Amino acid sequence: METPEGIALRLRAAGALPRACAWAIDFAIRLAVVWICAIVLALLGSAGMGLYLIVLFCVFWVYPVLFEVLRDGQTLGKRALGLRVVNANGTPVGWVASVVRNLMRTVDMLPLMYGFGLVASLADTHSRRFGDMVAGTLVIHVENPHGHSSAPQVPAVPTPIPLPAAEQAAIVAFAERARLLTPERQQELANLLPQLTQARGAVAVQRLLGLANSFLGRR
Amino acid sequence: MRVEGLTVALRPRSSWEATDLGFALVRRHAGTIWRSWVLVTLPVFLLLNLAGALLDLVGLAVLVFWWLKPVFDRVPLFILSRAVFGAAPSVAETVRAQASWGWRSMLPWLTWRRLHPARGLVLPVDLLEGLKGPRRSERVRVLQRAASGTSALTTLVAVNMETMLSFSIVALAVMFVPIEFLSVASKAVWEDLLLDMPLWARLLQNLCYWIAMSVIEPFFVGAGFGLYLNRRTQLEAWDVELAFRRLAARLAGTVPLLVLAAGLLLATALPGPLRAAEAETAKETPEQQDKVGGVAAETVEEDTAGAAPDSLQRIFAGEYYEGDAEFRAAVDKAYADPDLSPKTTVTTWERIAPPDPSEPFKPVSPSLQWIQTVGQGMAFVAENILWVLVAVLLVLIVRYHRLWLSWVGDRFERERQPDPLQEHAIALPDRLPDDLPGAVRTLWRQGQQRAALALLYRAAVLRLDERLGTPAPPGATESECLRRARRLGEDAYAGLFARIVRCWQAAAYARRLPSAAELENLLTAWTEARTEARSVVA
Repeated sequence: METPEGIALRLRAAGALPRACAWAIDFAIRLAVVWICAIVLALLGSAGMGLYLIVLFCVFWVYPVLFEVLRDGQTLGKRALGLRVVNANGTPVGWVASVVRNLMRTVDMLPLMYGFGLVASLADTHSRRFGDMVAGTLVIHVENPHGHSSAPQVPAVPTPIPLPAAEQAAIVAFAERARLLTPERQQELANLLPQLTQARGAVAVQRLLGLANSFLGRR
Repeated sequence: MRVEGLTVALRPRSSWEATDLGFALVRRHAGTIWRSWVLVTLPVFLLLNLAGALLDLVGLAVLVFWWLKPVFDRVPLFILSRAVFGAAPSVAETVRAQASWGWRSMLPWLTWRRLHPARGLVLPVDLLEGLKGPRRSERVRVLQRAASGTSALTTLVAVNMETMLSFSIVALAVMFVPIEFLSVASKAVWEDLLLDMPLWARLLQNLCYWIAMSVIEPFFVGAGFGLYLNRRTQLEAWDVELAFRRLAARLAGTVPLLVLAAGLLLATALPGPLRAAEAETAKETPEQQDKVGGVAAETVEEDTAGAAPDSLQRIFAGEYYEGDAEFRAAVDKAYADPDLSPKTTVTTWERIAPPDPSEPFKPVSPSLQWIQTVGQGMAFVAENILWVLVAVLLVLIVRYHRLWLSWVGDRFERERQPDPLQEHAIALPDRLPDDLPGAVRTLWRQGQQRAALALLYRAAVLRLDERLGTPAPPGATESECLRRARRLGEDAYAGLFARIVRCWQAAAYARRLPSAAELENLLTAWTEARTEARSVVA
């Protein structure tokens, strides 16, 4: 996806597994709400029955639409799994699209418990069920595993050769993830770049960390 | 292993994204995976079911098939693990490799590790790394540290998907039953298929399970492999290695010889000699025990039409002849003939007695009686609120029908005729009478109120002309005259003139005549102004 400003955005479509988990969480929440309402409203006689039917309808048909439109494309289950509903071009989902994709659940539910939806989602390149195809929406991963830079603080080393941004990013990524790697693996990776570090082993690792610090603008 | 050969875009992913990567890989190599899958699993499935049918253990056949899942998992795993490094095997290679590849670790996976919750993640460790003993457990622990939860959830979800899908296939068949036959069909299915399942139905059920499993299992293996790949990417920073290698190659400015060497290595690592196919035929048992037989004999109950001997005996009294056994048999046979006593089935809809609405809702216990009262109160309030809403809506519709229901409004407007014009001929005297108030009063008393006011207005305009010293322009309207009156400034007549004009306008345009007292006020003011003016002139 590319914006008019020429910025490339990566939409990471979410597959059937996380979506099924999100649905299960939503379903459990909705079931709990309906259950509690049923207990309270059962004591109110016919009026309670009427209210109960309204609650039932709202919980199963209005809940997803309200949450998707008003809560940034996330129902509670999707929030728990780090998913979000967006339009196919990455813009926030609107009322029409959300209503369409949720009404289309009646098709995806067929013949039993989302059988069609599952098969469609498994077969589609973007893991869309029929509702998503009709409404032109996508379910994507929101959370970015990249946190804030946690590269270890070492004295910055100026780079001997100017490097383009992508290669700088690789060295910063090495520094950020160095803590997860064994020392042997760190040295193995650092030894791949003798031209840059002019050293081998632990010294090379330190040089790379220093380079990363200079790329990050630390002094 | 050559990281340079990777065909997937590596980057640190969350665990769920890693499962999606696995799904995408399965989709990418779908043709090879499912063709090999069917070639490997279908013969095993058929053999197991054949054996099950012969031994009357069809349920066990599907259980054994399910238990053998780790063996079948090797098919997608073999393809994916090679395809990821750009060397996707063909169907023939895959099927051939199943005879030899990965059997060493199958014993634990078919016994104590069969129900391992994170099978998708750990199976690739055994099959692709081939570690043993404490090194293996260490390795598995490291890999599982951040991904075992997702892997276990994946297993759980996959089990549910598989079950759901196999039920879905059955439900799909039901969907094609026309709705008018649905109750008959479901009754037949329940009585003939579910209560006492015939053999073919049980085999069909197994087939449904095989289809569902064939759809889900490769994806499950793919998800596990994606998790494994992601975990190794995290632990060993493969994406960083890849970027470093490219950077080094650029800096060195030469093509690395490594690629060539690795290519040679790959050529020697092709699968070994072909081994004999699995000895599955051993399971076949020649002796055919006919346990399936014993078809329940259907007892056909004869339809004996009930004759009524009592009535015949009563009618014929002493002359009644009973007839011998042979005759009775013949009679019974004749009655049994469908032509003589035809039966028709008539289906009619009968109204079920509706539940008595007067019967009050029973609360759970008498101590909760108040809740029922509260509920009835709420129902009463809600009902009346609804009626109020209806009334408000009606009022709004009537009030704004022009705006909301313009098409209705138009129709009404068209039907409504404009009020008839009232024309009054005004007899214009050539000159004003000397006693103007008298003339006005006379006209008023004669019932010609409009004419009286017209006369007064005319006189007032003429006097305005006198005061200003200029004649009014022809066809000047009332408001133009009022504007001219403003030129008088502080003169008292300006106020009187305005009052006369207002009075005239109200009468002429709105048919609002002044009361007699108001007119008298005006006339008195008129006479006073006249005498004042005279005295000023004098």
